[in-house]
Amino acid sequence: MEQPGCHTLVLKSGFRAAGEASAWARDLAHRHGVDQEQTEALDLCIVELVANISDYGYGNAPGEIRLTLEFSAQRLTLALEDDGPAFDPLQQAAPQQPASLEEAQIGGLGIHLVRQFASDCHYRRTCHTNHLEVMFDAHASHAAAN
Amino acid sequence: MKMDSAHTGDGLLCINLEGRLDVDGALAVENRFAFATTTSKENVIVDLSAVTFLASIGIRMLMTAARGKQGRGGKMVMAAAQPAVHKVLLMAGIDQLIPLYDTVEQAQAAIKGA
Repeated sequence: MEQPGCHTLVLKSGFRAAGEASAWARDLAHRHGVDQEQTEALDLCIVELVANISDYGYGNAPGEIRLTLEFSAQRLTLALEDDGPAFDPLQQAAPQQPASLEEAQIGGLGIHLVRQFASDCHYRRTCHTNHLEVMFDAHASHAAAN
Repeated sequence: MKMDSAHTGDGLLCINLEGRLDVDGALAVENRFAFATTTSKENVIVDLSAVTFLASIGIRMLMTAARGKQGRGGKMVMAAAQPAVHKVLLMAGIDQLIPLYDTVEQAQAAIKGA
């Protein structure tokens, strides 16, 4: 098993980015002995957030997505950085449960799922960079596990 | 992501999805999935037993198809989601919009009895 540590990946935004990020995260989670539940939560969140940046962060121009994964015994921290326009995904209102399929909004679920599956999230903007940190506590009994 | 489908012989179409329903997975099957669900005269059961991962793009694919089916007076239901996929569907509230059954057999019985 790998020692606790920090790993980075730089991706080009685009439709392949989420898949690449997912494979990287799952491989690292396996090497660090992360349990299945935490790995699944990490996988989902990284796919949703990287896809979001790829789809909206840079318009139609390619851009960089910088990922960092830090592993410790108690917590796994995912950090995402992009240089797109300022965007705080945590400000997005939680979707209301629609009364019917007809009323349901087809989009907007990604950030909602991240909030459900992560233990904590923080956003900040520095100069021209969006920074998002997403934390997953080991064996946390947050909303998703209940 | 793979997809195949089979007519059950009692007026239902069962669509089996296999693999990850993420960005790549949705891209691989969404056109065929939409075509199969909307053009079939039968009600549809989506067998999720072999789906190992579900992201919001996959949920959108399911919802779009279910909505289209409902708009044509038909029904689409889901069945047999693995625990991780089941959790995502519940967290997203999708089970309240598209019926979700533990097994394909339960889905068949429910859709025929409705």
